[in-house]
Amino acid sequence: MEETFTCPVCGETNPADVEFCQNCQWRLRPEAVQAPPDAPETPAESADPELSVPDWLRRVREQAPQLDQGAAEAWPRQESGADLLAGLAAQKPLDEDDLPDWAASISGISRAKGPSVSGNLAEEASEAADTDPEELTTENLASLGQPGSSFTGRSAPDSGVTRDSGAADHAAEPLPQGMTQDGTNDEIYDWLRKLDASNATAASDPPVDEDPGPGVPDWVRGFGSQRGENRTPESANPGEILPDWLQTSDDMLEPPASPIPAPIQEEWEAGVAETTHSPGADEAGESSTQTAAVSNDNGSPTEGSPFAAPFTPDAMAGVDVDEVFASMHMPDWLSDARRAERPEEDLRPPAAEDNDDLAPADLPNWVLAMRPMESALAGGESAAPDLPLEERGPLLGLHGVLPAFSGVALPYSKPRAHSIKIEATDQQLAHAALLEDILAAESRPAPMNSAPLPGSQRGLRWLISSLLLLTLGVGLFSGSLVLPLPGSIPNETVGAIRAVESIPADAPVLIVFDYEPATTGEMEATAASLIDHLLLLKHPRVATISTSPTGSVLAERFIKAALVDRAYQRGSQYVDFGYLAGGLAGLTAFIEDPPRAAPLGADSTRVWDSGVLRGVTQLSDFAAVIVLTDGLESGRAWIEQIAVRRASSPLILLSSAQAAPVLLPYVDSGQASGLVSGIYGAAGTEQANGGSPGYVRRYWDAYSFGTYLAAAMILVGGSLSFWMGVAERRTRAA
Amino acid sequence: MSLDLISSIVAFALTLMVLSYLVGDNSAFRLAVHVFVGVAAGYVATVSWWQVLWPKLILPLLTGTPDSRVILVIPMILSGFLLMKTWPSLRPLGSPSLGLLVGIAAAAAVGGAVGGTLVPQSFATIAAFGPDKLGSPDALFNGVLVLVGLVTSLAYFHFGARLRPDGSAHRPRALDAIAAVGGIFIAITLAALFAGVYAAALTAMIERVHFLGSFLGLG
Repeated sequence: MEETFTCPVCGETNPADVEFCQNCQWRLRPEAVQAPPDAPETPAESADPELSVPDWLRRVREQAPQLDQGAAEAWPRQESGADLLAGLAAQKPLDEDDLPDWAASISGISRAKGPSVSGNLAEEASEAADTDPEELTTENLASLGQPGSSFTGRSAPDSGVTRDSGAADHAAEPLPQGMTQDGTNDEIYDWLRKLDASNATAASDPPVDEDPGPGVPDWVRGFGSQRGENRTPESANPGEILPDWLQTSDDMLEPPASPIPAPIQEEWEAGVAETTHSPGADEAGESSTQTAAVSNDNGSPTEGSPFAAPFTPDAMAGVDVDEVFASMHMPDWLSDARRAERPEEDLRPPAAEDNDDLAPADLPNWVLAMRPMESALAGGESAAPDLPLEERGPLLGLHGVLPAFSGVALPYSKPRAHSIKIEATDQQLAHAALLEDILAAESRPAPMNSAPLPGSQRGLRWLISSLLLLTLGVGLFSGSLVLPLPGSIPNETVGAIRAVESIPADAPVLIVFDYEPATTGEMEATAASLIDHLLLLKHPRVATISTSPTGSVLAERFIKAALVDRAYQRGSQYVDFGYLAGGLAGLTAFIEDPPRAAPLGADSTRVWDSGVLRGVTQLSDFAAVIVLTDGLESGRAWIEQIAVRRASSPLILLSSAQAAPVLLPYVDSGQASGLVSGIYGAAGTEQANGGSPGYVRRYWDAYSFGTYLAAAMILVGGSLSFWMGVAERRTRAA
Repeated sequence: MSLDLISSIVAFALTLMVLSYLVGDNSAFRLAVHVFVGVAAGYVATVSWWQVLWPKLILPLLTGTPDSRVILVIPMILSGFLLMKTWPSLRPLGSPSLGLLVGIAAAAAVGGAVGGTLVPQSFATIAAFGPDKLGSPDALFNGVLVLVGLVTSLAYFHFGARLRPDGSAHRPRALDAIAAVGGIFIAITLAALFAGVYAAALTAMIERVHFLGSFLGLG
C-alpha cells in the first residue's frame, strides 16, 4: 500500500514521498525531518506530529479515546483545514451561541446535514446534539451510549444551548444524494464497515501496506487504528461508561459502506492551523505535521487521536473521494471552484513539471503562507479564468488586478506626446508681434530724416563732370590767358624762395621725393619752378633720395621732364640714392649717418665716391634739404627727425595743397624755412623765376575756372539745401 | 615707333579707361585698376630687390669682409624669421623681428613727436605772445587766435561728464560753451583740408586733361 499524507490545509491526499502538497503547495514535511521517499514510516516519525497538537486536544483525546461512529456522519469531509480538527468541523457556520462542533460531536450531537453512518449512530448523534456543554464531562462521555447511562448527550430544553434540531428535524430536511431516510448513507456505511473490518485486523497487524484509498480521510484512518489501540487494556478505562456511539463494537469495527466525509473545517480551525504554521522554521516541523497529527503516514490515526478507532486506511480503499464530495453539501467557503476545475496536472508544484530543471527551493512555512496561491501554480492557465489577467507590467500573470478605469491612461503605456506649441488666437499673436516690434525699436537706430534728392545721382554726376571737363578744357585749350596770376605771394612761399636764394653755389643739396605717382601732375607743377630757380641760380650738386619705392623713378622723371632745360646728368650733376628702406627707422639712420644708411646709389654705384657728394659726410653738410611731399606723414617725419638730430641744414617744403594746412605750423614755428603748396604757392615761385617753366601759367586759368565752378556749386547747392530745409520745416509746422 | 610714343599711347588709353568711371563701374576701369596695382607691385618688388636686398645684404655676404659678413648674419636671420609670418604654423618665429621693427619705429615716432612737434609747437605758441610780438596787433591777434583755437579744440575732445541727480550725464555748461567754440575751429580746419584736397585733385585732373588734349593735338 502506498503511503499517503493528508495536507492539513486543503485535505488533499498526497503521496508520502512528496514534500509539498500537490494541491496547495503546503509543506507536508518539516525541514528538519526529511524522510527518504522509500523509507518505511516508523511509529517514531508518526509521533512527531503529536508535538504540534494543542494541549486541550491532547487532553480530549486522552479522556475520550473512543468515539461513536455516529459522530462521523456529522463530520463531512473537509476540503481544507487540519485533520487535527477534522472531527470537530461543522457543516453550518458556527453562531455565537452554538456549541462548537467538536464539542457537539463529542457529546453525541448530530449534525443537521451530515449523512449518518448507521441508524444507531444517527439516533445517538441526535441525542448528542442536545447535550449541555457543561455535561460534557469525561464520565458522561464515557457513559454515553451505555445502557442505563443517564447521560444522553441531550441538554435540557432551557439550557440555552442552541443545537441542531435533531434527527427528526434532519429527516424533514431534504436529504443529500445517497442518503436514506433514516439518515444513513450507503456509501458512507460501506467504508465504515470496511474500516471496522480493517480495524479488527489492525490491532494485531498494523495495516502498513494496505491503502484505504485516496478518498479516505486521515482521521478516518486514525479511527481504525485507534479503535484497535483503544481496545488495549492500557488505554481502556473500565470505570468509564461510554455511550454506544463511542463504544467500540464489532459492527462499528466494520468498515463503513460509504466513506465518511471529512469534517468541515471551520474558519477558526483554519486560522488555528495557519497560526500554528506561521511561527517559523522552528515550528515548521511541528506545524507541518500538525495536520497529520490525527493520522500517521500510513493513513492510520496516531495514538491518542479521537478518530483513530473507527477508520483504517483499508476501509478507505477504493473509495471515490470525488463522489463523496459531490454528495455532500459543502459550505460556501469550501466550495472552491478553482480547485474543482483545476486539473491535477496544474496542481503540481513548479518543481514537478517536466520542463523545469530547477527543484523548488526549501522555503520556510511563513514564506509559503504569504505566497499567493495563483502564482504557485505552474503553466499558463490562470487559477481564476473569470478574472481579468494582467498582460503587462510588474503584475504580469496575476488575476484580479484592478483595471484602470476609463479616462486614465494605462500605467504601463507610453505617455502621449503633447504639443508644446502655445495655442494662441490671431489677436494674441498680433499683440505679441506688436510687442516684439516695440522692443526691437528701442535698440534700433532712428533713421535720419534727410531731404529727398532731386533727380538721380548718376545724372547729377554726369552734369558736374561735364561742366568740369568743359571748364577745364576751355581754360586749357582756349589759348586765352584770361586770369592773371596772383599778385601777392604767401609768406611761406617767400621764405622758401629766400631759402633757395641763400644756398651757396655748387653746394650739395638733398632733394627728397616722397610723393605718390598719382600726384605727379600737381607736384611737378608745384616744385618745378622753385627747383628750376635753384638750379638756374645756384647750380647745386643734387642728391635725390626717397622713402618710397617709386621715389627714384619720380625723381628721374622730374629731372628729365620738368628740368629738361637744365640738362642735369646723373652721376655728374646729381646722384640718386634710390629707395631708403626701413621707413622711419631708415630715415633716422640716414639723418644720423647718411653714408652708412645709403652707401650705394639706385644703380648700385658708390655715389659717395663721386664728385657730387664730395665733402658730404653728414646731413648738415648739405646746403639745404628740399622735401617734396604730397602727405602729412612723410613731411612731418622729415621735419621731426631733422629737428631732433639738430641738423642745421635749412629745410624747404614743397607740398601738395592737401598737406599745406598741416605743414604750415612747422613753418610758423621755424622748423621749416619755407613752404610752397599747390598751384597757388607755385604761382609765386614761378613769377620769381620769370615764368619758367610755365606749368602754373598753363594750368592757372583752368585751375581758376575749376575753383570758381566748385565755389559756385557749393553756393548753389548750399542755398538750395537751405531753402529746401526751410520749406520742409514750414510744411512740418503746418 | 619710339618708346615715348608707345608710352604715350598706353598712358592715353589708361587715362581714358580710368575716366570711364564717370559712366559707372565697367570692365575698362577695372582693367586699368588691375594694371596699376600689378605694375606697382612689380615695380616695388624689383626696387626692393635691386636697391635693398641685393646690394645691402646678399652682395656683402658674398663678397664682403669677414667682419661685415658676421655683422650681416644678424639681419639675415631676422629677415628670415620675418618671412615666417607667412606660414601660420611658423608665425611665432617672426615675432622677434617684427617686435624689433615696431619698437624702433615706435621709439623714433615718439621721440620725433615729442621733440619735433610737441615741444617746438608749444614754444611757438608761447612765443606768439613774446615781447617782440606785443607791438604788433596783427601778431598779437594771431597769437590770441591760435591760443583760443588751441584751447577750444582741445576742450572739444573732452568727454568727461558728471552724473546729475536726474540720472543724466552731461558736461559742465562752461565746458560745453568752450567745446562749441572749439568745434568751430575744427570745422574751419576740416574745411581748409577739404579745399586743399579739392585743389590737389583739381590740379591732377587739369594735368590729365592737358595730356589728353596734347595727345589729341588740341593744345
